[in-house]
Amino acid sequence: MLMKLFICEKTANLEEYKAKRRRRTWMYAGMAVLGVFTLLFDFLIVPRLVPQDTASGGFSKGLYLGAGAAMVVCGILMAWNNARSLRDEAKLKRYRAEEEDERNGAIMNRAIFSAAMVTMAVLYLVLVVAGVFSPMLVLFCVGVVLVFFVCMLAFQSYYSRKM
Amino acid sequence: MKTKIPELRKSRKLSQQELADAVGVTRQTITSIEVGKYTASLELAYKIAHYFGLMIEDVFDFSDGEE
Repeated sequence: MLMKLFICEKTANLEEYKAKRRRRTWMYAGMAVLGVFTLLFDFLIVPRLVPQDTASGGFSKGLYLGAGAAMVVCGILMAWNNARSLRDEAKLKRYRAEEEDERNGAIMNRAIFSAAMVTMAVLYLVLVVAGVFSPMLVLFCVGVVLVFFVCMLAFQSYYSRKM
Repeated sequence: MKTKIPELRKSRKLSQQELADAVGVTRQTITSIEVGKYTASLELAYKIAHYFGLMIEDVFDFSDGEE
């Protein structure tokens, strides 16, 4: 469901595309609501978990406050912009062409593949360097690599059934 | 892959944007196909050929890749 909303799958007609964008508006609204919950977590729970007068207390407070506020603002703006685009047929047609354009899809696939390869190379370098002084960082890098490969295998299996 | 899209467009006084709108892609995709930087999928090749009322092989020249 989530993948169908964001991965550039082709829609049969403009009505179907409109419905897809309508669902996306709800997704963005959901993101804003999640942001509100993050802010509530920051104001109500974080002060009880971490002492606020320490450096880590200030960091976690700022982290949740920043993430929550960003999610609320982005969610509202994206939902509003998306809902507004539904009223403009010409704009909607242009968005559909841009989003479902096969060359754009091919460019995005190559860009994601290249970015993933560079990320893996950077993670490997960090892993090699961090091995000397930070076991925690090594474990984090190994975790990220594992998540990447598990996701890759899962998507490979999903798409081999679909295509 | 060579194409006859520029000639076909010119003969029908059609802009790249008009062709792009008709086949549901962006103008940049039509440009890339015309200059040979991007190879159209079978579906898009069919749509373009169908738009001009021709067969795919009348619009696209596949001889480059033949052995």
